[in-house]
Amino acid sequence: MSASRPDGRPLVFDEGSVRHVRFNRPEVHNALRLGDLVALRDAVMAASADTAVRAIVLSGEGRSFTAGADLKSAGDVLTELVDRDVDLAVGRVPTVVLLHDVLLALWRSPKPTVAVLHGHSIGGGYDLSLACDVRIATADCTWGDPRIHRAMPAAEGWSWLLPRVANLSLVTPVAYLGEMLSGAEAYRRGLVHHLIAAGAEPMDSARPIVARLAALDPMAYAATKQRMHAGLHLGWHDALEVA
Amino acid sequence: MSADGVAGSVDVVDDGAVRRIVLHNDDGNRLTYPMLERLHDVLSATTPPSVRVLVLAGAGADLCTGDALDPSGVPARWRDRCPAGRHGPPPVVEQEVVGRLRELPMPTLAMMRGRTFGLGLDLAAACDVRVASDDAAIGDDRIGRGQTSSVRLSWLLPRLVGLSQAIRVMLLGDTLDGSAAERIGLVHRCWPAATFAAEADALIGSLAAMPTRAYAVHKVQVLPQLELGFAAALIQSLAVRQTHVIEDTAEGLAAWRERRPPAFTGR
Repeated sequence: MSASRPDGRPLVFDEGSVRHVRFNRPEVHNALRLGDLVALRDAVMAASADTAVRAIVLSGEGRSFTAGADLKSAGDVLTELVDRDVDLAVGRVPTVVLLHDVLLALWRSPKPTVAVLHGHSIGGGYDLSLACDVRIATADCTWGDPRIHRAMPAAEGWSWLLPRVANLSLVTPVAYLGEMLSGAEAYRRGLVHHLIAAGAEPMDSARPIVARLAALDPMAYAATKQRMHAGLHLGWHDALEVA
Repeated sequence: MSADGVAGSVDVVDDGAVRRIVLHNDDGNRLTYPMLERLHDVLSATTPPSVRVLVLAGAGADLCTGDALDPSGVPARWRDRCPAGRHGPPPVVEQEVVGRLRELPMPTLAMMRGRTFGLGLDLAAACDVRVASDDAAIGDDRIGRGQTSSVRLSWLLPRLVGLSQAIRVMLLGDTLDGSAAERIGLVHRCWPAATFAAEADALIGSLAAMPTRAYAVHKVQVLPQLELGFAAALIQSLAVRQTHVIEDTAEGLAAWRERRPPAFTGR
């Protein structure tokens, strides 16, 4: 379906009016390096500004969506990010700031944003999926955040998104206790919108769902999304201001 | 009612890393003002670093069936704030208790065996984790008596289980068994009554072995961010991350690299 890239950067390509961003390091479950996050941010922002694009789809090549930050490349700080490197010892903070940029780009995108989840969708993969509008998952995918089990402080948007995408009751197992959810369980809890049979080729099953989103009126979609997002933190009367 | 029933008691039992707060009174551990006063003091006191999990439990068969708040029993230091029959302006002892319970940094767990109603539900809802036995009876019976929660359950419950199910509990006054409470997300786990104690002990043990400072850093993001916009929340997260040193992180990463279970200290 897509040409490979020797540097392992995400593949960015179009299928009709759908812009795909496909994580492309299948040999390491698409673990994300700083440079991959830069590419992802740029791809999402470019797609959001492109009137020909009617949906943005994140997916992963190979066995997984993404297993999150590549801890083995933590020292791999790109030159362009050196002035943002607050925590030189571990190099984690640039990753966090970049991830914030990506999350905000997804959240603020006027387009339908879709995460197609299979295999490992954990850590950074879980963060990214929460910032998308629609989650499509295989029943047997692994979704969640194992970082608490490594005592890694999380600051990647989930703490705001998770109680709103679902509710506080899901914060207990997922964030406080670090339990992994299967796609089927995530669907049962209302987090995943469409469930794909285990073992299915995720993109084949996701394509008709994405096509429906891409066919929607772009202005109506953007306005509805913007109002719903604003309403998440406005009072009932204040919400009239954006209606 | 015994003399104990007028006052009741709140026992604090420390067992290694686990602090158990046990409510003790007649008629399903109803809460009196002296008990709330004691809870307030217990939850306000500086907790020794060795305490890594706080468990809220009831003596006997129930967690807590609600309040037994006779205005004449208002603790002296709250009394001028509490005209008879009214809780009056803040600080109100029950509000302070729930607020302090919710803001404790360590993992908190409510053991919902038997009955949990009214003010008991207020307390349980302020904990991070709720576990119930399948034969539990959980609800808010105050609406049926023309009363209401005064400790922001109306704020918390819709966020906990969604508005639709919060209405079911607070306005329709439905009583849920443990399984129904698990289904709507009000409790994290429901176990058969026969195995409840063993299952709960195992969960409490695993909580006590967690990197509880990292847990606290999670909590100090989730709770304040319920009142922030997304962009502001990201900045708050970044600030929290930059200002908290978690010693366990080194151990967590080392254990991950060496493929062995971590030994966390909670620091």
